[in-house]
Amino acid sequence: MQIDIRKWIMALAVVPLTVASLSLSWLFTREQIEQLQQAFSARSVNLATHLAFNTEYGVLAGNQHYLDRLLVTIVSEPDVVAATIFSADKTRLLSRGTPTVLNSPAKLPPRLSHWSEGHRQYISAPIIGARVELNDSYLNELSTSQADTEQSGWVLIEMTTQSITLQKQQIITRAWITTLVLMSFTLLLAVWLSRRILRPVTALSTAVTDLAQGKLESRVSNQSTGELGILERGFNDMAKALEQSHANMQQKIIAATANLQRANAQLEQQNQALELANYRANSANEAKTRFIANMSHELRTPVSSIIGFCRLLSKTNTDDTTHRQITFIEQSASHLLGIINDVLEFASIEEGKITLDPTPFNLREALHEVIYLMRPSAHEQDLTLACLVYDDVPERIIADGYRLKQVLINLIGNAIKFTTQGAIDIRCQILDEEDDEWTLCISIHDSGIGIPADKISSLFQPFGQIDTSNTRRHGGAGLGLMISRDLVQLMGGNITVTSNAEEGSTFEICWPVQSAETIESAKPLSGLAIALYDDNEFSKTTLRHTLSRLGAQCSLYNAEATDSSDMATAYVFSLTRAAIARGDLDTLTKATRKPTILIVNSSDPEQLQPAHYHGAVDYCLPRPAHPHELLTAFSRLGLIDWRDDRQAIATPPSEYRQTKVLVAEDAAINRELIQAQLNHHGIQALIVNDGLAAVEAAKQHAFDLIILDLHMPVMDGITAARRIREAGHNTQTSIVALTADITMTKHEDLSRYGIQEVILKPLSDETLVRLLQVTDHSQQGASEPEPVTDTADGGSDIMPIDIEFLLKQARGNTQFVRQTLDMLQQELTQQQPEIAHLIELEAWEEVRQLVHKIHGAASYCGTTKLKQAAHDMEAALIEQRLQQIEQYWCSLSQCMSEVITAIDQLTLDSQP
Amino acid sequence: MTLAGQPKTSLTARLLLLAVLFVGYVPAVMANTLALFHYGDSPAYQELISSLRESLASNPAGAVKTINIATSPLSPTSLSGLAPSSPLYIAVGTRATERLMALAPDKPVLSVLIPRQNADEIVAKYRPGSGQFAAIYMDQPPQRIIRLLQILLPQAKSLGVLATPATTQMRDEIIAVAAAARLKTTSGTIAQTAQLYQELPSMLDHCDVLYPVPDPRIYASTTIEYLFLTSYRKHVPIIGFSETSVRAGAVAAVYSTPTQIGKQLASTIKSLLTNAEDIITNTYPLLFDIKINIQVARSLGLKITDQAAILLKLQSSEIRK
Repeated sequence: MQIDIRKWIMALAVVPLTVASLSLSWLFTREQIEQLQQAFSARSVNLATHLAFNTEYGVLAGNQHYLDRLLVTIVSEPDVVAATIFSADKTRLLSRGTPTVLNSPAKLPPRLSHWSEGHRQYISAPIIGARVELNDSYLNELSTSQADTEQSGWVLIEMTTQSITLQKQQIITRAWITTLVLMSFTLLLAVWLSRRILRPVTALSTAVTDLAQGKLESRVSNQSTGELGILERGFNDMAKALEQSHANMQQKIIAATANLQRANAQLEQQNQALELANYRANSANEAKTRFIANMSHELRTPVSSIIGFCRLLSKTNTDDTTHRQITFIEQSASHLLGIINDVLEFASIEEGKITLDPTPFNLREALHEVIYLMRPSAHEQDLTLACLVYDDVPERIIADGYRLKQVLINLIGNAIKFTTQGAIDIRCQILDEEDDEWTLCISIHDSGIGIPADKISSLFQPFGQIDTSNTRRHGGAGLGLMISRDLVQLMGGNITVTSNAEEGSTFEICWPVQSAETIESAKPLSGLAIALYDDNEFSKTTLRHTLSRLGAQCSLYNAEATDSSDMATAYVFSLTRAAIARGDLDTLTKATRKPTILIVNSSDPEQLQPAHYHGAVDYCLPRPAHPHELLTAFSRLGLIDWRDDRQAIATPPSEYRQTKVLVAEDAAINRELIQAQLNHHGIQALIVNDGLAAVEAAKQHAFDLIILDLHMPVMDGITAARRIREAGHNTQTSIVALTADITMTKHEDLSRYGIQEVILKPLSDETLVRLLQVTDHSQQGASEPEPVTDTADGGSDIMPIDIEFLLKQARGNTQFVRQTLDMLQQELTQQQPEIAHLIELEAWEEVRQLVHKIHGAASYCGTTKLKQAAHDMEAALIEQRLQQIEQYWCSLSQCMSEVITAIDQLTLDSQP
Repeated sequence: MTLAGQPKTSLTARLLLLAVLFVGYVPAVMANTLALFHYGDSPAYQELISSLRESLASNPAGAVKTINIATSPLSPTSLSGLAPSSPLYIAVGTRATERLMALAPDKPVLSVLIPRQNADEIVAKYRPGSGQFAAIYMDQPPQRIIRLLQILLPQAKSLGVLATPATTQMRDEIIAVAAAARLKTTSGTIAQTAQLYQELPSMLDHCDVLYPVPDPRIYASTTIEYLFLTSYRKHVPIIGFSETSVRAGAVAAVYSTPTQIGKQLASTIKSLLTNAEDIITNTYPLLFDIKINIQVARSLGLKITDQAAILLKLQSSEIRK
């Protein structure tokens, strides 16, 4: 609550004085009334005492006249209304006035007393006169004398209190009037004072308000004196100073505003310049992007052609010199292609274009593939390469295998680069396991030059190598480690380095993976007792581990202890070339009489011939040997009965003679290369120059495989693929795209156009074989180059599951087939209601993703009808033909149900 | 100022004394200590005893043994044991006298400081018609009172006597003496104190001087002021009976002090010791004094001469007679 000054002044002036007036008035009034009362009481007591004293004689003498005169005298006194005399026995003797107490009153105490009843006050006094004692001896002797009577009677005076009451009222009235007069005067004084004080204060307040509202010319009249006068003058001075200050500030603001406007204009100009520069920078960036794209195409295409032709040339009958030169050319081109790939990969990572594609794959196989690739490089320097995969590592994991292999190739390649002698040990183990989440670690340890501690932090810088001399010696763009680190981080893991100069280095990558299904590995070497020797401890461990996993019983070979060696079925010696040169092999084979396999640090076919060792060994393998190579060796030596399915599939080129392939490639060199590759497999392909020609060809014939270059004049590969699919022909034909653009390797990006896979140029022979293998199952149906019949009609006779195809894909491994189909059944069971629900929600993109997964799974599981139905629905979803989705979904759902039922009813034991 | 004199100061007194004398009583030789009994230690008693001892100091045979009855309860047996050789008991005051009269009916008792009225009543009660008792009264003989009146107020023609029923004898004796002195007399008797208020005014209207007989009913505390104020208003002087009555308002009084009575007692004892044949009788005090209230006399317009002269004149008159 806010109280203004006026109220404060009024309160301060009125309240204390009012309280004081009331208090004093009350005190004085009370004092006066008490004095009045006391005077009245004293007077009444005096009257009674005087009367009592004087009436003794009259009472004793019985002098009525005397008493009556006394009473008349008393009654004539003011306020006395009656006076009565009582005898000693309380008998009324005489009265005057208007007494109310007559005979034998109860209240006649022996002493003076008074009481009130109504408006009357009663005063009684005993009648006792003066006493004169003689104390005389004579009278004392008269002891029998009569005692004096103490009391002769009472007098009772009755007085009215009306007059005193009236006086009291008069006193109170006077007090009130005085108080009111004082308060009124005080109030008037307070009002006068408040007005006198408030007038200038109000004026000041108004002026302050005006000042606050910006009326700086506001002033107050200087009429007051004292402090208020000082305040008024002070305010006027302050307002004047403020006005002047405001004026000055206004001028400064105007000046500053002008400066700001000028600065703004300059900034605007600079902004425009910056925008222009930004535009130019963006243009330059776009130009860079276009340049990289062009680079990827323009550089990779000729380099790919060089490599391809080199490989073709190496298969022709040439002399050794020519063959060696061709090999050098291929190696140089491959190296150049690797540098180009690194640069493009780096650019892709920088732009965030790299995404992972986690899919189930065989980890051990992937590691062997990498080692298979890197083995020749290691052998050049007689380095021992060994890889140990611990038993607890799952056979198959879910990860992006392509990127993992890329990282491993990079790290192993680096290890080989910077190791001049010794070994490179690769370990793969589980670091942590929780439910289905695994932390997988792969470490690559080399015995190379090592890395100084202060250089480790700069390892992962782009274009950085520790020693520039290494760059010159080993080549490379210096991007490998950085790309590897980024890829590992993209996988959710990290890469660590521990190294000491001249003591070798260890690179370790750890990342979380999910395990896929576990496959029981076969043990074809069961029953074999193998005595082995390895001049490298880690390599010996890995070799023994590999042989044991294949079922063999291993023992360490000791040339001195021939007894134990006699128990062996075969010997396996693993040596460096240097060891062989030193004569270690001769020492080892001196007493061997059983089949002997030599594993040597060499990829040279000549050095892998037994004759190269003068018949000391029966079979030669490069180190480290792939399990299949070991099995082949034992098989060739007649120790086991084993057949390599991969070789069986890949080897006979005449198997694909009936396969119809359509190739669209604008580059003549590439056309010739692919033509040569296909011819090598006995395939007569139809090769056209652009996409439009491919579309026209596809309308005329059904093909088993269509290979389209993505970048072609007239019509690019994507458009061509879409047209081919739309034409209704070759709906089941695999369409793969060739590109030199590394950023286009994600086939999901093109699946909506009907392109099942994107292959990075150059098209290797292995890839070609794989593509032909995939299409092999449909070879029978596609043997006739007739237009493809309508899928809806033609699909009615197709069985839900092509078991033969599956078994062929699984190399007859029925257990693998069983597991694969169980997984498919599980996925279909889960996804069928999920897709239905998403269709209801019209979440078309999610539906498309699920259908695409079914499409992919169906492609590898021999479920042709399901694959076709998934493909049709996916195409409809891509092309936004939503009105037909319901129909496609009915078909797909029916196929899914059929496959689920068929898997339930499938008995693989009865299958061959 | 005090004169020693024979008790037979006048014929009337002698006759009166003879009427009550101890007939045939001859005290034995006072060879032993005399027993003096008193009740309490009032100043009058002490003054008397002192006066007695002083007076007897020169006489070796006059040893006095004082016994305060208030502190030594008496019985007939103990009484005889206290002073076995005392030929008589001397009783000081009314209460001692009455006590001795009751306890020793056969023992002679000489009583002093006793009003005549009380002595008469005790004798009538314990030894009516018997001797063995004599008293020296506190009362002044009526002749002495009348002579004082005549010396003091020679112009007075009438005397009023105010008495009570118990003092009618004294009243009559005074009236008789006054009449013999040719004074008119008027008298009034009040049974109650209150009657004073009725009797006094009328009496004062008929006398020149008033003599209230000493009695507690007349000299009551409630009446003294009225008595003296009324007489003052009536211009009637009052003759008192003691020094205190003069101080209270009486114009003059004749009285005997305890010292004077003690001296008289000593004289009596000496007389007995020297002359065993002497007959001891009841007697008024021989020695006396007067007291004049000069202020009252002046207020009343009386021309009072020197008090000593008046005393001397009074004493002289008795000697002449």
